[in-house]
Amino acid sequence: MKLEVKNAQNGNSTLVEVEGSTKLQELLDSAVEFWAMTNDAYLLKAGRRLLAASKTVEESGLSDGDIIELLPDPEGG
Amino acid sequence: MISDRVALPRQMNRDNFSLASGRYSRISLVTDFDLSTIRQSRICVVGAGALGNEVLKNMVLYGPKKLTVVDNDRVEKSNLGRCFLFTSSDARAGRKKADAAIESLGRMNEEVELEALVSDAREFDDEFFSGFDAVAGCVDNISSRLHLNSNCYHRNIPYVDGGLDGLMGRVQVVIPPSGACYQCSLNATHMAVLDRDFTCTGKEANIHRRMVPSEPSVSAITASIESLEIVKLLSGTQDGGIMFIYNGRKNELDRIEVQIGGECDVHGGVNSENNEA
Repeated sequence: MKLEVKNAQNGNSTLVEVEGSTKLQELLDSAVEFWAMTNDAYLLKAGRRLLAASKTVEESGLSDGDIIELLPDPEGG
Repeated sequence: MISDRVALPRQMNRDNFSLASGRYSRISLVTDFDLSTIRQSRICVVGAGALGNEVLKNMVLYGPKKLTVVDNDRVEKSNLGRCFLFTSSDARAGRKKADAAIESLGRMNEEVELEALVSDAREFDDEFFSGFDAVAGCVDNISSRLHLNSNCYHRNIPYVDGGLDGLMGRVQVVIPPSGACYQCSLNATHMAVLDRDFTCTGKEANIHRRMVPSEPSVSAITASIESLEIVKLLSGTQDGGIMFIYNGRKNELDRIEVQIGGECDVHGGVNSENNEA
């Protein structure tokens, strides 16, 4: 299936081919590498739901065409 | 004399109409808040940087019983662009942030008992945090957030965490004993940041870290969300397990549900039974 991954920092998006067994952490790491993002903390969300990166695409209830957003997790205070 | 036809807000009746001219009269008109509970509360704000300054200002204006500031840093000139509780003379003198902050807060509301603790919050255990009705995290690192989260959760103390990075802000509301906590939201990228910040012997690594961009408007907006969530949870009108992401580029605010699980030790670790909750 294909998921659309959006980068909240710059508004760009890309389609990613995944299996149901793909871990979301792999997807997250690939997106960070694809956009050459800094080595900081990031979050994934789908709609109004934060996605647990330790789960698979299937476990997360994602399906073909769903949009996932990659967000920086602000560390500063 | 008030006409009987005038509908008075919940917390404002003929018995306490004198509140209309008092310090908290306008806040008391917000019927979502339980102002008497807020005013009896003991609140701890950890971190007196850009976010902490704003949260402290908001909290002191509500007039809680006690407001504690925990920070072990000194005021530097670079703080003055974002931290309005500090003055140039504080920076020149290298005053401790916690001390300088409560001096300014005391001028804003003399009715609040203020306490400055010049310490790293990681030196305090769960017993310390159990002395508060709510804890606000305004720190600049994941290690301190994990410490505050786990110690507060263990003692059923609500914890509201804030974070800033440039035009992005995040606020997470943690209300034990049910619901997701801060650690539930973490993943391997957070662990990589933690690994980077500590040496193999467990000491904090003295390495170059990216300087996190910060500006006053997003600090104020994020801190206002954090403050509002604190008074809502004190008033019993807020649920935990939620996160707010503010994106200043688009001026958008997302409200996100956080599920129990992820890399969370507080809830039993990865793949625990609790993760299925």
